[in-house]
Amino acid sequence: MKKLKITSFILLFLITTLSTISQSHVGNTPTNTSPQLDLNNSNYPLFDSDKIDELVPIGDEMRDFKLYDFYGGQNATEFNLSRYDDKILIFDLMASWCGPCRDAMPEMVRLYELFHHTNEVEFISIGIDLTEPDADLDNFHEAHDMDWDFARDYVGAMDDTTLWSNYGSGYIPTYYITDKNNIITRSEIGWYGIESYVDEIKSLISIIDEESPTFVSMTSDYDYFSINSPSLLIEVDAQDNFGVKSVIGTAKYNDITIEQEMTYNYETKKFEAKYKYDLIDLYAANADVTFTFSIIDWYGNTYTHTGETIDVKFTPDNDLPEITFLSAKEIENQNSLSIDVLLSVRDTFIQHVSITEINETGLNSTYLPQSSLSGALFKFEFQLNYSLDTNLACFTFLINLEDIAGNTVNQMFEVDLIDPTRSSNCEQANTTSSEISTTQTDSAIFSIYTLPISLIFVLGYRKNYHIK
Amino acid sequence: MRNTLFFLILISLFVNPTSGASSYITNVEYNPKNIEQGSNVTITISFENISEIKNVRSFYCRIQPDYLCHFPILQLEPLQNQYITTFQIKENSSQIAGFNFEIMFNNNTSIKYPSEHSDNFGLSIAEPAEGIYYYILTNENISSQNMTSSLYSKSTNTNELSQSELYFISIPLLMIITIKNKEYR
Repeated sequence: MKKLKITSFILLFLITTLSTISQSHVGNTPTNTSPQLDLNNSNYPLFDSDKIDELVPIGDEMRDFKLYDFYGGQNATEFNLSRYDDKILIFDLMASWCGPCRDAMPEMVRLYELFHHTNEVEFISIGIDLTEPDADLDNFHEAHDMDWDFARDYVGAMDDTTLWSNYGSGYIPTYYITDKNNIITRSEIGWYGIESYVDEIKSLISIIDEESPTFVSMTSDYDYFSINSPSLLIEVDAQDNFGVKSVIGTAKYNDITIEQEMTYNYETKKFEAKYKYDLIDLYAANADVTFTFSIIDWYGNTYTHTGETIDVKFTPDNDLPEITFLSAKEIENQNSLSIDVLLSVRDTFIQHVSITEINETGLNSTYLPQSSLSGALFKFEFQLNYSLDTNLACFTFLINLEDIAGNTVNQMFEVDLIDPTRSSNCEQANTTSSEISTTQTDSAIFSIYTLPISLIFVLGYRKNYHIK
Repeated sequence: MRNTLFFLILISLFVNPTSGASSYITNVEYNPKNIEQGSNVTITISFENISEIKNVRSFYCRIQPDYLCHFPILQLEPLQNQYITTFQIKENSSQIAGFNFEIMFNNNTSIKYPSEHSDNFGLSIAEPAEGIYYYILTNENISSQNMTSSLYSKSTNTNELSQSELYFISIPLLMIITIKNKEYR
């Protein structure tokens, strides 16, 4: 019995503590108890600022180095600059923990694919952090399909020092490009896009591409148009002996033309674009969409492909129409008052609307067709007309909507007739939102307080039982 | 004996299976708070116990504009139950700097901070590249207004228990107690 009491006490203490933590929502900012550092004490390393922005300048000859293939293990092949004789070399100083180095990799891979097949261009990436575990470099290499030379720096890579100490800049990533005579033609901190590198390499290699790119295939990815997928994803595969730089796609249906530059997807290595349509217009027209693609390679050669067509079959969805009460305003007429009610309805296409007056007080209501529509969202406006002598404070009405798929929604709304711009006199008008917030509050209170209270109740009950 | 077992089961319910090594860190901070180009900043990482830690490395990067990382990295030095380093800020008033760090344990496992779910210790977090997070070295003169909104994430404290965690704890607890009461009857 004594053990039970102790256990119960500990439990209650723990639960109360946890609940308190959950309620606090305060950042954990303990008081500063850090020992004061003596900044003049050389035991604490100050960041070395001497090397910042000290890149080896353009025009200098790249000096020889001695590195080992990263994946050679104990028998790693030693190599030096002569491996790249008569080659243009892209020289990448990086680390696996370096976010910008990682960010640059997809474009570096694309650059490699553009030029490596010419047999005039080589790449090398060098991990410059001597403390970095091999496993981290390995993971980085595997993750980015780096199909080029890969090595890590060490003391002795360049004379008796590291390669970094000779070519480092204080920042990574750092890149160098050398021409076929090992002369540095570009030295740069950070990766600023593939285009300038392409231009640089194009100026160094002997080949000039005069062939036009070709269209390979187009695929479309959509199940149906609905409020959740109101666009059509088009993917284009195009080829060129030096790679395709860009694709501009033009979609046409009815009298509408949409032109946009497609985005290169680094995973699929294809170009893709999303085309958004006015769904209702498309449905009404039952339109075919015709595509034209203008394909441009890195040398400016262009090929235009036409004739790709998609027969867009509009498949109704299962999503229910969503109705939102936007506003109501009073309009004064000669013999009566009118209230203009504005609703927003979100759905693919509404084919039936009906309004039912709940009050049954003889108020007349006439609804006007939807006043505007945009994509899957359109506004729905109607007027309530009532006489001046009515004593009714609130007007209740039921909206019934049915979309083309037969999905039906019935939703009740209230309008404050005394002041349509406010809804305080119409309790029901606020029901939905207040119910939601009440639910959340109740739930939170349950999670914080109910547990300890329940425990006290249960343990108290148990104690009484034993007393008996 | 039965009560002891009962107690142990209940205590085990309170162990957060995701906490792991993160419980080692009690605070992360940098000083001074008002950072300027050229000023020396001290990063202090406080631990409950540093006996299982082999080393702590910190990576100091320029987050915006021009996402770059400084090299060499910062090796933190142990001092009581803390790891500390001091370095000079290179960023000017229009640039944003940040740092993250990696704790290497004696068993050669490691953990990086901050992460998506880690405690931010009241500091602001940036994610300039997907999955790579930094504590922002805030220059209070600039404030976060200059920072691209997508880069900046508001500081949150993940120490707080979520509602689902409370349910996770409370429901089995109530069930066990109820069953125990029935047994006594």
